[in-house]
Amino acid sequence: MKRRPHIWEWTVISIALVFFFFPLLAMTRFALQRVPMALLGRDTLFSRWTIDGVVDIINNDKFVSSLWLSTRLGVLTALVLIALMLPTVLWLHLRVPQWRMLIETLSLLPYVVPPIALVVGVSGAFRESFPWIVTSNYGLVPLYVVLCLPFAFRTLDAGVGALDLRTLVDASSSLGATTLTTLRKVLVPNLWGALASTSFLGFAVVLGEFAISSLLLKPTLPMYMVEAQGQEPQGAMALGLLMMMFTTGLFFGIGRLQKRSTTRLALTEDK
Amino acid sequence: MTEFDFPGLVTPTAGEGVQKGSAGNSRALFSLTLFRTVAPLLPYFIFISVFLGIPTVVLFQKASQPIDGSTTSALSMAMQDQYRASFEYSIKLAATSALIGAIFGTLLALAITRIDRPRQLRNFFTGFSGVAANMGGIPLAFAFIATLGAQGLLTRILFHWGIDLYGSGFKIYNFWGIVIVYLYFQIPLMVLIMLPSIDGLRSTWREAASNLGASPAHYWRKIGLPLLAPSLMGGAVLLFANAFSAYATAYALASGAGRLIPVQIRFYLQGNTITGMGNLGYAMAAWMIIIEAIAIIIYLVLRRRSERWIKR
Amino acid sequence: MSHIEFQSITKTFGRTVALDDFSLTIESGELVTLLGPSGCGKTTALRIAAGFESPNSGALVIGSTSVLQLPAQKRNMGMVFQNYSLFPHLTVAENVEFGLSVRRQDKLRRLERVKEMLELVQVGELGARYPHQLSGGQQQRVALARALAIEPSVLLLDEPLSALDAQVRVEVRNEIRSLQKNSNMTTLFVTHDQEEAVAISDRICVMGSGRIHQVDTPENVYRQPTTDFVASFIGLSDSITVGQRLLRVRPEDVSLVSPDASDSLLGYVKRVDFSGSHSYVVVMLNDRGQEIRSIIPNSHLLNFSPGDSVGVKLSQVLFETPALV
Repeated sequence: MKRRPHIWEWTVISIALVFFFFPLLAMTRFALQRVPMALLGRDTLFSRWTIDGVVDIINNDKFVSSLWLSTRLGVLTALVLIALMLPTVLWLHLRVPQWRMLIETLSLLPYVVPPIALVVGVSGAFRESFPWIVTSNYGLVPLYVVLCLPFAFRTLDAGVGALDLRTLVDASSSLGATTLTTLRKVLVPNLWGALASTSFLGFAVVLGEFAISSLLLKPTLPMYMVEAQGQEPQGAMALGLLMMMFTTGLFFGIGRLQKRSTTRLALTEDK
Repeated sequence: MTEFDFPGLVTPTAGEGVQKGSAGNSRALFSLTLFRTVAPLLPYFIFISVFLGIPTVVLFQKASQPIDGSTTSALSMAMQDQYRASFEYSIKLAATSALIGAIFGTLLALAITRIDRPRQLRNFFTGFSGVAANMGGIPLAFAFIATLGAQGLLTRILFHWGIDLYGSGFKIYNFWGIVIVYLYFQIPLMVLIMLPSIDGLRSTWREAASNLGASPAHYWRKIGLPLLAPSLMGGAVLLFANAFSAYATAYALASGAGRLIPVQIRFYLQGNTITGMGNLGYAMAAWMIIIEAIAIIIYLVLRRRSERWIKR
Repeated sequence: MSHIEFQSITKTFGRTVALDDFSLTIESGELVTLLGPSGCGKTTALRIAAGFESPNSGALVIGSTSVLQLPAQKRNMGMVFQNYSLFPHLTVAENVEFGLSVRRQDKLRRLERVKEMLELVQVGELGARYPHQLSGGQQQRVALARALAIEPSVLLLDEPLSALDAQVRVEVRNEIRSLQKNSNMTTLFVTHDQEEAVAISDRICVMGSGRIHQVDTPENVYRQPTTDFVASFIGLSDSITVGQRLLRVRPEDVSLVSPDASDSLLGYVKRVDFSGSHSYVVVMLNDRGQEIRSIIPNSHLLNFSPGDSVGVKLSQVLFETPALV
């Protein structure tokens, strides 16, 4: 309205900025500076900065293998997530819009079951009959998919909703394309934003997921980080920093992809 | 229609011809159509049933059984004595972080919507909130250990200024420490929840109120806050649900020890304790689900209410 | 009831000039319409009067007070917005009561006044309903009641009919006009619909690009436009070149005669457009293929078929653009 200096707005924002960025600063210092806190002062502020801790941990075998495992799991989760949810959302929009209430409510159920409860339940239910799910590393994938379900549904739903699906499909089939071709050549190209967002988030969730791996004792990246905290605190801190930067980059990417979409809420990350 | 036309084998092209057939044929056609409608959704339904439904059912099943050597169900046991205290602690912590996060998140969202210059500020904050709301787990815990841990940077700075945090009993893994850490993702989450609602407060309402003589304070009291109230409360509830189920952060902060429920569940199920107590772990998990379900339902009801007035 | 005086108001938004030295006096009890296309500055002028925008320079006097330094909530003006102005969480009655409760009148008087206002705009039985349960026309009536309840010195209306259906528009605008006349309320009305403006205004202020083109009664603006912009904006007209002259004429001033008649422009009937209560004959002139319309009663429809040769006579020229040297 009028040209006001917005004093209290800027105060609030400044406090927020300090709150959110100071820990990152502290992390960086911890990871990269070999000065014990008790000795840190004005004269030691710039001494002994080194990336040795970072280098060490990156070369660590256990780190590499845990990273590799988490990456594989992340990619698989993203794939399964899309393979499961894309046809479902497409079908919902195309043929059974009256079932929206049911399908949407189902997609919210994972919020009601915290990761801890989920893994406890899965373990109790399948430990004897299908031990694979608790013994194999890949048994984590279905659990991760459940975790990502709400976000995946909302993202894909918004993306498909923004298309004129009926028209596209009718046009494509009237020109002779089979279902598969329509999917491949018409729908996926138009949905790549939502698909990319879903994949990125699935991947990010898996990379940071701890509760399930913790209970099933699987050597994923977060598990390794906790372990390393005891042995190589600086390296672990550096890893934490790298993780934060990486997921930040991922999410900023998602954010830009979602400029047109309506929701940015995602509650699936394991905290 | 010959005697060889089995109802179940009706083909699409013959479908039209079957219209005049017997009741059995129409029923068959109906169920075939139903099947064809549902079929593509089956993977979704089956997946949810198997990986969400069955675990939950089994969980409650085991939870309603007694722990070895007693007669009451683990479910009711889990809410007594020392276990109840853990629940109360978890609920208190989640509620506190939700309340504080809701207030600051709303204030921050309001501040962001008011600032028009620089224009990128809003985009930046929205993007950052999207990131920070999902931040959590191990890296976040590490970050705050580096900040407010016993050897944390801020701890040291405060000490330098004469404030001895740890001397007065503060620990990063006690109640207020965890609340502060949780705020890191609670506040951005609230920002994301509130931004659309604040945007939905049409400028005409504000102008009409002003035109009718209302001061800004009066507007907020009578119009703005009442309209935002459902989103506010819904957001707070969602924040509660969010914090209540958090595991990794608390675990990492306290290095595995801890009074929070999720950590306790792990404790009881890892076999570190007497065998037979396993059902207690299930019971605690079952209670978690019950509490979360209540929270989510309240949230959905409130969200529906706010969408009635404020359409995006 | 006070008069409104805009004195040399200038308002820019960045590099865009929304209002350029805008001066206008609205007499007490008058309904003046700011009429023009989008972007002409009419809404800006209204919002400056209401206090939602501040001009870069100029003064604004209401009654005998210079009001620019007064914040919006102290100006005691009633305003009706285009839409979405009713508070969604309050009932109709509570909406109308809002301005009164701000002024701390006692409850009994407030309720009486609310009842009075609701009946005035003919929504007496809808007091307990919520805005989303009302039709567009009903909502605007309630908005009007709410604005009038506070006994404002001036009434401001920002395109209040634009969001309504055509038939409802006519009903509501007539109600606004009769209410305004009965209460002798000084009113500033903004619209882009010239038919509306012509129907209800005491005077019309035609605006374009931040400037005033003409301020006059509807009849004068219609019959004697002072610029080609005004001539083309109000009512129907066609622009043709005859010889060296650039003329604008109304269909009712275009008569069709025999092609042999003297002093007539020659052409042929291109088509005949039926328009409900009357019809238009579209004539294609031989001179450069220009089109001109003539209004005819429906009884004469059969006299004209596409292709017929016809002569065109202009009984009156609406506006002639001065020849460029």
